[in-house]
Amino acid sequence: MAEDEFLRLLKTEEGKLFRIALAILGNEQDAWDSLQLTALKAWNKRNTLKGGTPAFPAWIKKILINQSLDILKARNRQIPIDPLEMISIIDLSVTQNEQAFSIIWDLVLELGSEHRKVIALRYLGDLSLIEIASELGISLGTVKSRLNTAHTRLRQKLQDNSAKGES
Amino acid sequence: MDSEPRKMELWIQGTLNSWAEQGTLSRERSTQLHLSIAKLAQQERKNRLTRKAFELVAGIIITCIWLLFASCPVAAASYMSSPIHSTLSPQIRVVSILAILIYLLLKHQFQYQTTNSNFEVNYD
Repeated sequence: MAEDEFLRLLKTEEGKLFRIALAILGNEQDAWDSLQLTALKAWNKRNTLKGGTPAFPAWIKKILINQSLDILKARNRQIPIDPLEMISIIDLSVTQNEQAFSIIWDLVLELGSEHRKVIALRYLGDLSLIEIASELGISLGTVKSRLNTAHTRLRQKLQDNSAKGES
Repeated sequence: MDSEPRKMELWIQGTLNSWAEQGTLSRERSTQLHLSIAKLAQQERKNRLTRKAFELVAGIIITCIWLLFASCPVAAASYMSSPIHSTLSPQIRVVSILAILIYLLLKHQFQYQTTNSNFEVNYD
C-alpha cells in the first residue's frame, strides 16, 4: 500500500479510533499514545493487510484494540476517570442521538472504570465475553455481571427518563 | 424477534458506535500523526536505496571474483599463465576471501537491522 493511500485511509478512521481508545483507556493521553502506536504498527504491517482497502477499517481497529489492551496491561493501574474529561467527551459528540449517548455515558460515569472497560470492549471493540475476560484478567462471570448491571441500570434510567417526559 | 436484552445490546452498540463515528482529531494531532508516518516512509525509501546500492556493489565484486577465478576460461588462463600468478596469488586470494566475508557480514547486519526496525505484531 502506498504512503498516500495509507494516509488517506488513516485520515478517515483516526477520529473514530481515537474515541474508541478513549472509551477503553479513559483518558486522552493514553488514547493518543495508543493511536500513535497503532498508526506506526499498521504502517509497518501494511503488507499483511488482506482484503485491500475495504478491510482497512476493521484491520486497524483490531490493532487499536490490542494496542489499548497492551497499554492497560502494561500500566496495570486503575485509571481514575476524571469527570470533567468525560463530560468533555460528551460535549464533543454532535450526534443525532446525543441524548441516548449521554444516558449511556452518564451511566458509565456512575459505574466506574471497570465497567467502562467492559462496556467499551464489548460494544466498541466487538470482543466476545470470553475475550474480554481473558484480556482484562477477570472471570467470565464478572464480565457478565458487569454487563448485566449496566443493562439493568440503563433500563431503569430509560424508564425514569420516559416517566419524566410524560409528567 | 429479538429479545429485550438483545435489543438493549444492539441499542447500546449502535449508540456508542455512532458516537465513535462522529469523532475527529484536532488538526494539530492529525498532522503530527501523518508526519510520523511520512518519516517512516522516508526512512523506508532510504533503506531501500541503500540496499539497492549495496546489492549492486556486491554484485560487481562477485562478478569480478567469478570472472577471475572460476567461469571465465580466458581470464583464468591468462591469469594462470601470467607471471604475477605465483607472486600475487595469495594476496589476491586473501583480498577475495575478505571481500566475501565483509559482504556476508554487511548483508547479515543489514537484514538484521531491517527486521528489527519493524514492530512485531501478530493480530491473527
